[in-house]
Amino acid sequence: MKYYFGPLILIFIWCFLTINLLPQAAQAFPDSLTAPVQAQAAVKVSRLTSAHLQVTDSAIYGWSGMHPNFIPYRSRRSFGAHLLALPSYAWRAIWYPLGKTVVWMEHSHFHEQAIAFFFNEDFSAGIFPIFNVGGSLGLGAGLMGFHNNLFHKGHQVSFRVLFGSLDDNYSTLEYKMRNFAGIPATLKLSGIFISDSEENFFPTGNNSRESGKSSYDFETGGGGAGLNFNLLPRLKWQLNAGLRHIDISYGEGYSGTFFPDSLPEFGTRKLWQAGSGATLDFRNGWPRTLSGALLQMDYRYTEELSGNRFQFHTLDAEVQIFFSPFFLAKNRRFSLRGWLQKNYTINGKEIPFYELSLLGDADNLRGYPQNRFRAEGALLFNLEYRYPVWDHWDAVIFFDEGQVFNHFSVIKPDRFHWAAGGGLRFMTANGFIMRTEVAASPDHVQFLLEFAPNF
Amino acid sequence: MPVFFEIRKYPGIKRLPTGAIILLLFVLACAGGKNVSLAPVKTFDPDNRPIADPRELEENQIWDLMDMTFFYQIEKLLDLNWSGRKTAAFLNLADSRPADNVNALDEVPNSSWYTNRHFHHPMSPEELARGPNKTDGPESSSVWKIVAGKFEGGTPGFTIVDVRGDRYIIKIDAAGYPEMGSSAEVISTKILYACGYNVPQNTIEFIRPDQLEIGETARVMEGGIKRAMTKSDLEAMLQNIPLRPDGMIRVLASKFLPGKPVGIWEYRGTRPDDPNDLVKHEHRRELRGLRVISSWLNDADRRAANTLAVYTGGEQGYIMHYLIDMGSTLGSNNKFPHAPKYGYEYLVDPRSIFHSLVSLGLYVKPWEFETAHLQPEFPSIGYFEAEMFDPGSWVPTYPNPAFENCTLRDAFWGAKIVLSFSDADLEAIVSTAHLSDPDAAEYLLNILKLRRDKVGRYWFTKINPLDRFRLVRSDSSLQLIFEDLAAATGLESGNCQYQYQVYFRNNEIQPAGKISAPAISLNREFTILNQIFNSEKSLPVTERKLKVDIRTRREKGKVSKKVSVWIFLPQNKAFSRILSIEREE
Repeated sequence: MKYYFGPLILIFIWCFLTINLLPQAAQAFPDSLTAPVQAQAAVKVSRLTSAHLQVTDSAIYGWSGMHPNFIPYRSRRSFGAHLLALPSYAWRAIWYPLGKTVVWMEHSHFHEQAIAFFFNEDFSAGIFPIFNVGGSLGLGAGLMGFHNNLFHKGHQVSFRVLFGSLDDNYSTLEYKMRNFAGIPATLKLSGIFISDSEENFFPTGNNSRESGKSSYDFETGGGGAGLNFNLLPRLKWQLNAGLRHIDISYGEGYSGTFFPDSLPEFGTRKLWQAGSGATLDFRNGWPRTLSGALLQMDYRYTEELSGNRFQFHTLDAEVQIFFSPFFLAKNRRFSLRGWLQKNYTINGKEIPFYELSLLGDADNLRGYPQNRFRAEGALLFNLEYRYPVWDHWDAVIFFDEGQVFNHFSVIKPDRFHWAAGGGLRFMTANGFIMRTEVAASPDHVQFLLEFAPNF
Repeated sequence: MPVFFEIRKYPGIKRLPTGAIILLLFVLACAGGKNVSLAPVKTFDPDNRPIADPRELEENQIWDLMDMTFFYQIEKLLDLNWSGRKTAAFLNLADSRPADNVNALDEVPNSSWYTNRHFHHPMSPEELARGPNKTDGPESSSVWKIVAGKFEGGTPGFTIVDVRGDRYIIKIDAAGYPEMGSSAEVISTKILYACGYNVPQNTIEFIRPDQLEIGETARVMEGGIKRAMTKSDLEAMLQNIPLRPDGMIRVLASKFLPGKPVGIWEYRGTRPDDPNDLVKHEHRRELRGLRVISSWLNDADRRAANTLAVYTGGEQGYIMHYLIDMGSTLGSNNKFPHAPKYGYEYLVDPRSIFHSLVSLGLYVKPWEFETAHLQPEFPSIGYFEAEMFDPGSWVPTYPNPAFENCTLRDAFWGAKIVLSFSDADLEAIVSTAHLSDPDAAEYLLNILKLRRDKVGRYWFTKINPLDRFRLVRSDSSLQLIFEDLAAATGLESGNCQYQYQVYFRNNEIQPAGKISAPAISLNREFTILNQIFNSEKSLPVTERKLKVDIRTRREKGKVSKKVSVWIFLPQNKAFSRILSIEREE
């Protein structure tokens, strides 16, 4: 008890000094500033009405002196009070330049002028700078541009260029034509170029150890075309095909080890792919998905053009279910996702390691390093409880489980890797902006900052 | 902890027993006894001395929002005066910091900020309907010349000059919500004027579109750059205003204030270039109490950007302080109806976010699933309701330092002003909005009444609502008369008991009394006081002060906090007077 009694006394002393003694002490001394103010007030009596010129008489009032109507009120702060306020003065001083900058921007209509500079009048087109912090790109900057009504035919074009360094950069280009060739479909042409000098590599398999971590330099470029059909209001079907150029080389690992060049895919490869997929979307709510379900199935065929080593199929299935239990308000909901992917080799050929199924990322199995688990197939379950904490802010509590495998027969409950955590999601009325999450797994506790939803 | 033990090493400190420290602190805390002055009650604060022409302070809406929401909140915590007092108040060791410009009767003297009006000098319905209007608005039978655009605020509009040469800002109602913004502005202007604040003259006007003429100086803003106003700009502004059968359109005309506008005034600190501005704005009673009046009107946009300082009085000028832009009050948020959350939480409200976060979604906000604002029953009213309204937790769109400092006494001051508006008073004011739908006017009036009564019920139970104290003297009797505002406004029945005790120099001079009518006879106390002073000739006349503590016991049985009234009783009863009123918080 004696250890806590002392601080309590100090708090008492502090409180009394703050609220009682210092102000009293301050008032005990004449305020040199008050006297001239009083004198000045007396001089300006002509401004006061007759009611304010009330004569004070000690015989009647038991009091005489300058009528209070001549003495202005003032807020007083003693020297001691200023001392106690010093931390707040320092805080104000720190943010003073920011305040001045914001005020200047507002007065100069910087925001409006910037919008007018980057966008056209009806906001159907624009080019503006973008920035990136973190992720595989690190610190980066670039440009993003779009036009939603090209040639006045409703064609859409957009591009995005992010440049971190010569070895780390990212570019995409997309062109969309609705009602292509008079059919109720959208043609999408796309191009991509990615350079990442430090892509994570862990030994393949569900039981690979984190200590085996290395990295490789990954560069890919390619293009593709897709046709999206809206068969029914909630049913979409797509066809796509594309060509990719992939270059894998040494990367400097975090631990100083290097990419194991014994792996056969080292070098330059060209792959072409074609596939098809269907999506049944019964989700409800925007920008929050409040209820409903989504079912998605995809098939992809991949073959090497630069050699005869790789040829495989990829099958993908995903189910998302959103529901609000009866005992909770309608925008408090559980979100479930199940995802299964399996690659099958053809004619005894192989699958390049970078095309294998992956787990370990902010989008799937959180709490693990990127690309932590790698095999021919992957099974993932996400369970999230999402609830609003602000207009367009959601809190989320999640539990993830996943495992990778080469054959379905090895899938077992005790092979699942788990992660759990929570975070916040930020949206606007127009859509998703950002999520921040903290995820814990037996491997790591990770802080995630993502600019895309996981599902 | 280590610091504390270091202190204990000093022998002097070590020898001082802990009990002595506590006793010392207790004595020091009790030492500051109340010394009631015999000075006359201050009725005017002389803040109208001539000052040099001040510079214009431009509004800064974005920084004000950021500052008040984030930086100022942390700054307060770092101010050990503030956090110390808050801690002490939490431990029930001290009251909240009182306002700095309150007179001995717990009232606000008149000043360049405030003029006591309806509560102290009841205005007739006609006076309330006239409000601040000195003229009937712009001359609407001739041309209005547009001389400038309107670049502040959320409502589209422009500035005109009428044939008399008077300048007005013309505001246009939002598309889809005809009459909403203009009626809210007119009604709230008149209410705030009657409450005592300085406001501009706002009137509803009807004019033919062809009476508007674009002047050479008229400008509009496009992409952050001002350019000359064109006919198509004007047509675009007017296109959403419904044309009445007589070919006229309805607009709001806000008359330019007399004097030179010198920008905004803020709800904290003082203006550096105004030597008259000596009271920190967050400690002005009329601004703290405005929180309660704003809650009644759901004036959630009550922030620095909606204020105006005007240098008035010519060469002998001083600054007058106005409230402006009442278009975001009642059910209107200028372009749209108020969102249901307005008044319940800040735009960014860390407290609310925290509650929602830790409750894991189990806490549902009362207004969370309210959708009435999307398609209001009366588009000319917008979203204005009384059922969920909670006067105690009402907040504007972002923290307002004066509102944050509002104490129970400040709130009571605001509440008694709100309750001074009778049903007939409100009817007279609402009629000036010229709402075309009588049902809409009736609805608005009803909500105003319901919210007014909620304000009274909430604050009058937090503090003893006795007011309008006065002494009634005659040769044979001396009575302390007062008004029980809760009973007088019909919020509580008059069947209650007032318990009082009379003290001379902290000693009760009569057994406690109980009365059922708000009038306390002081004849016996006067006689006793004379006896004391006759027996102790050395007592100065300035000691002839009595304190009367009054508590109210309502039907429900709970006894209220006390109100203490200090009375000066000189030998000549005719000169007896009330010196001071203190309300227990």
